[in-house]
Amino acid sequence: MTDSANSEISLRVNDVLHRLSVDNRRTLLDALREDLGVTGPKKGCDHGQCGACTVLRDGRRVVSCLTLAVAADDAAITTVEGLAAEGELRPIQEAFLRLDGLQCGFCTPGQICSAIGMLAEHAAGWPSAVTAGESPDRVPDLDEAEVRERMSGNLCRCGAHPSIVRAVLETAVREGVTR
Amino acid sequence: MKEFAYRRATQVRDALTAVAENAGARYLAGGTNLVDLMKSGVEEPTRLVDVRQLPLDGVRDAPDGGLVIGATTTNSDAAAHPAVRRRFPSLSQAILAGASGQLRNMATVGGNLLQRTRCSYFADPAQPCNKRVPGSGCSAIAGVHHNHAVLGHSEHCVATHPSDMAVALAAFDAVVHYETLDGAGEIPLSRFYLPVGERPDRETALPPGALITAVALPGSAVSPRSRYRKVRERASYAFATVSVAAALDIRDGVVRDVRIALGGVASRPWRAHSAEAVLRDARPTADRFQAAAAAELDAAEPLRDNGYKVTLAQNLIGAVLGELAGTENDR
Amino acid sequence: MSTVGAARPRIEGRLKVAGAARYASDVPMPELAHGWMVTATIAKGRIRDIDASTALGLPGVLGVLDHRNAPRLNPRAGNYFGPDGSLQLLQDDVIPYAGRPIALVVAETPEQARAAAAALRVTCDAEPHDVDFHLAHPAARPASTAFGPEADTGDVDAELAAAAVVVDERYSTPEESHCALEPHAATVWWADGHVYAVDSNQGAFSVSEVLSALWSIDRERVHIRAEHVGGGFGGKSACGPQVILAAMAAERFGRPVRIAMTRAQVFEATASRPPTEQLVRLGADADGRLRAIHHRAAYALSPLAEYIEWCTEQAKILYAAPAIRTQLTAVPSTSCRRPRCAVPARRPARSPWSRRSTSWRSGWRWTRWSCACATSPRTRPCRDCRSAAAAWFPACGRAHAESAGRPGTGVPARGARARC
Repeated sequence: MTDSANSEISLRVNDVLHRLSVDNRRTLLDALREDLGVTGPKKGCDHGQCGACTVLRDGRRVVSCLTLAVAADDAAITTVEGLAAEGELRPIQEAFLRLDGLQCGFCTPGQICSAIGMLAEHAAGWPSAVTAGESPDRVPDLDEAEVRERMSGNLCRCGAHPSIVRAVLETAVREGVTR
Repeated sequence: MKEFAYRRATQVRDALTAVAENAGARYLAGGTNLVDLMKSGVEEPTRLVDVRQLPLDGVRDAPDGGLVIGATTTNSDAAAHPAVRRRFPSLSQAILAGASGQLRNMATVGGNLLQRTRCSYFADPAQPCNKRVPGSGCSAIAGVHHNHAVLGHSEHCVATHPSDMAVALAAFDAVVHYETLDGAGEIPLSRFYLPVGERPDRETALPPGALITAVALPGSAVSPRSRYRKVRERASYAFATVSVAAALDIRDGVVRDVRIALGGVASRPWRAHSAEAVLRDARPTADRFQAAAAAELDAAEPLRDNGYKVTLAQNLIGAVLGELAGTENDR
Repeated sequence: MSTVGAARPRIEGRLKVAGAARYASDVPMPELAHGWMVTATIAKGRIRDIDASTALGLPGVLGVLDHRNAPRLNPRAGNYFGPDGSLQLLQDDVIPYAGRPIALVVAETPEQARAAAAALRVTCDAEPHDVDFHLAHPAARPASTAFGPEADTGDVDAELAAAAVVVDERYSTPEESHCALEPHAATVWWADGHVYAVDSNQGAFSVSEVLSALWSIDRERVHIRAEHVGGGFGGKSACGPQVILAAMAAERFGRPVRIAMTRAQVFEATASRPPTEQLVRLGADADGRLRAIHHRAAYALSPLAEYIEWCTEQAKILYAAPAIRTQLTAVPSTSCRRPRCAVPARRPARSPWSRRSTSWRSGWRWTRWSCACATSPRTRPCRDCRSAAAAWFPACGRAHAESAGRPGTGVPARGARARC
C-alpha cells in the first residue's frame, strides 16, 4: 500500500468488469460517467441530497456522488442502463413510461434504481418511518404513504411524484410484493 | 478537494496504525458526511483509512438483555434488526427518521455518531465559524439561525447536532466503545459529546486516533416502551427542528422509569434530566408531563429567531409521553 | 383514429427510462477539458488581485481565465431590454454580487480543475452594499414601460370610497430560485471559426443570438443544441454563465470545454426570480362587481441589466373595472448604503423570451425601453443606449422620436425615460 493519490480499481458495472486507474478523489458517479461513459446516473447536487445519482451497489441503493470510486473497488454496480435486457424494458421502466412518471427525465434514472432497491428492501421486511409499530415478523403493506416515505431521497422538480408512486405501486403489485 | 492517499484496512490494528502515523489521516466508513465535507472544502484529509470492511458490523445480544451494535453496521441494518425493533423501538424509529434510504444504506452507526453539524456557515469556508476555524467568530448568532440551538450553546457557537440516532441512544444511556493503539476504552454517551464552551471545534471525548468499535445499549425494562418523534419543516428527508426520544414504564399508576432526550436543540443530544426528575414516582398525567417539560426548557436561552423551539419542545415532550402513557403501559 | 384523447408515451420517454437521453454534460467528447468557476464571496467591491501561481502549478491545469486575460466581449450584447451587464463575464474587476463568476480554471479532469480553483488566491476590496428590499426603498424608481404603459383609468380613490367592500392588503414574495434538477451545464467547442455548444437552456435560438453578439460573429457561425434539458422553469431562458465561460475557454485552449455548475453556483450565479412587495386595493359592489383595482408592486432589480417583473400585468388586462391603476417599481439592489449580512444581490430572472405578451404584437411598443445604465430617470437619450440600439435593433433607430409618450396614442410617458 502506497501513498499515491491514484489507485487501480476493479468495478463490475452492469455485468461488465472494468479495470480503471482513478484519482482517489473521483466519485463512483464520475467514474461511471467520465471513465466509463455510463451517463445514466446524473449529478443533480453532488452532495447526496437529490438522489439523481442513485445506483445499486451489490444490490443496495446508494448515492454514487458520495461514494468514492476507490472505496467501491470490487463492487458490482447496476445503473439504469443495466436494467433492460436485450432492449426489453424492465417492468418498473415500462411502468414509468406508460404512467408518465417523468417529464424532463433528469431524476428518472435515479428514481428507477432507487425504486428497485426500495422494493427489495421492502420485500426483505425492512420498516420505514411511516411503518406503524408492527411486529418485525410481518412485511409491512406497501401503500402510497410507504412508497412516498421510502422514495423521499429522490427529488423530482418537475413534480411527477404522483405518477412515480403509481408506477412503483403497480410494479410492486405485479411482482407480488404487495397485497 | 486536495489529493489524498487511500488505504483499505482489514484489521483494526492496521487501521489504527495507518491513522496514528499520518496527522492528516481520517477514518472513512460510509462517507456520507466526510465526503460531503471534503467537497465543501471543510475537511481536507491527506489519507483516508477505509474501515468499512473491518469485522465490526452486526447486532448481538448482551448478557444484561441489552444489545451491542457494531460500529460499521449500516444505519439500515441497525434499524431493521428485529432485536433493535423489539427491544429499543425508539432507536429503530430514530434511525429511520433520518436521511434517505440511500444514505441509510451507506452510513454506519459509528459515522452517525461522529457526523458534524449541518449549520450552513460551518459548511461554507468563506464564512466565519469558530467550529471550523477557532477564533474566527460565529456567523449564525447574528445571521440565519432559526434551526439552531436553544440549550447549552455559548457565544462561540449555536449549532446543533444533527443525528437522530444519537438522541435515542442518549435516552438509553448507551456506551461508546473504542480502540486505540494503547488499548480499548469506553465512554458513556452522556460524556461523549463535549459541551460547546469556548472551543466548539472540540466535539467529542474520543482520544486522538481512536476508532469506535461498537455501541452498547444496556438492557432495561423501559426500553421496549419507547418512541421517537421528529418535527421538521418537511414530512420526510429533513433534519429535525425538534425531536424527542422517550421511554416510559408505568407500574401501578406510577412512573417507575422515564427517559427523555431531545434533538435539534443543542450541540449534542440533550438528556432531559430535570424533566425525568419531575416524573419519577409521579402519576403520569398530562399536567405532570407539561410540568416536566417546562422544568427542562426553563434553562433554554433562545436566540432572536428560534424561540419557537422552546414551545415546540415542550409540546412535543408532552405529546410523546402522552402517547406512551396511553398505550398498554401500566403493569 | 384520432390522436386526441389517446394516451401516448413521450416520444423521448423510452430514452429517458433507459438512461440513454444525453443532457448537456453527458455528450462524449474527445480531448475534453473541464472548467471550474470561481465566484466572488463578497457582495460588492473590486478584485484587487488574483494570484494564480499555485493553481497553475497543480497537475493537469491548462490555465486560468480572469478579467486580465479573458477574450474581450462586445459590451453591447444584451437582450430585449438592451445591453445586459450580467453577460459581461471576466471583463473587469467589478464585483456586483456575491456569487459572480470572477475566474475560470481549466484542467484535464474536473477534480484537478476544482482543486486548482480552491488554490486561487483572490483579494478584494469590499465596498458597502445594500441588499435591503422594500417598496419604499430610496433607490426605488418606476419600472421600464417597454411592454406598455401603466394602467390609469378612472378615479381609483373615488371608486374605493363608493365601494361596498374594500380589500386592502400587502403581499410579498421572496426571492426564488428555479431549482431545476439539472444544474446549468454546457459542452462547447470551436471549429473553423464556428462555435458549437450542447447547452442546458430553454431557448437555443436566443442563446445563439447572445453568443453571436458577444463574440461579434454571424449567427450562422453559432450552433446551439439543447435537446434534453433537465428542467429550466425559467431559470435557463437566459444565456447562462456556463456557456459563455466554456466558449471563452474552448477558444483560448483550442479544446472542447465542459462546465457543469455546482448546485451552490446555480443558486448564486444564475437567474432567479426577484423578491416582490405588492399592495393591492380592490373595491367592489355588494354583488362582487369590481369598481376599483389599484395594484402597486415593487421588485428587486440587478444593477447590471434592465428587466421587468410582470407583477401588475393581470391587473391591467384581466378584469373589467371603472377604475384601474397600476404602478410597477424597480428597486436596484445596491445603493452603497449601510452594510448588511452577506445576502447576494444578483441579476434578475427570466428574460422576456420566456413569456409572450399581447403587447408584443403592437409594433410600436417595443421601441421604447429604458437606458440600462440609468439608475434614475433621464430626460435625454443616453448616448450609449442610442449606439446600443443601433447595433441591436437597427430598425429602431429610424422609428424613434424625441417626443414624449407612446407614438400615436397621446399617452404621456410615465416618468422621464431615456429613449433611443
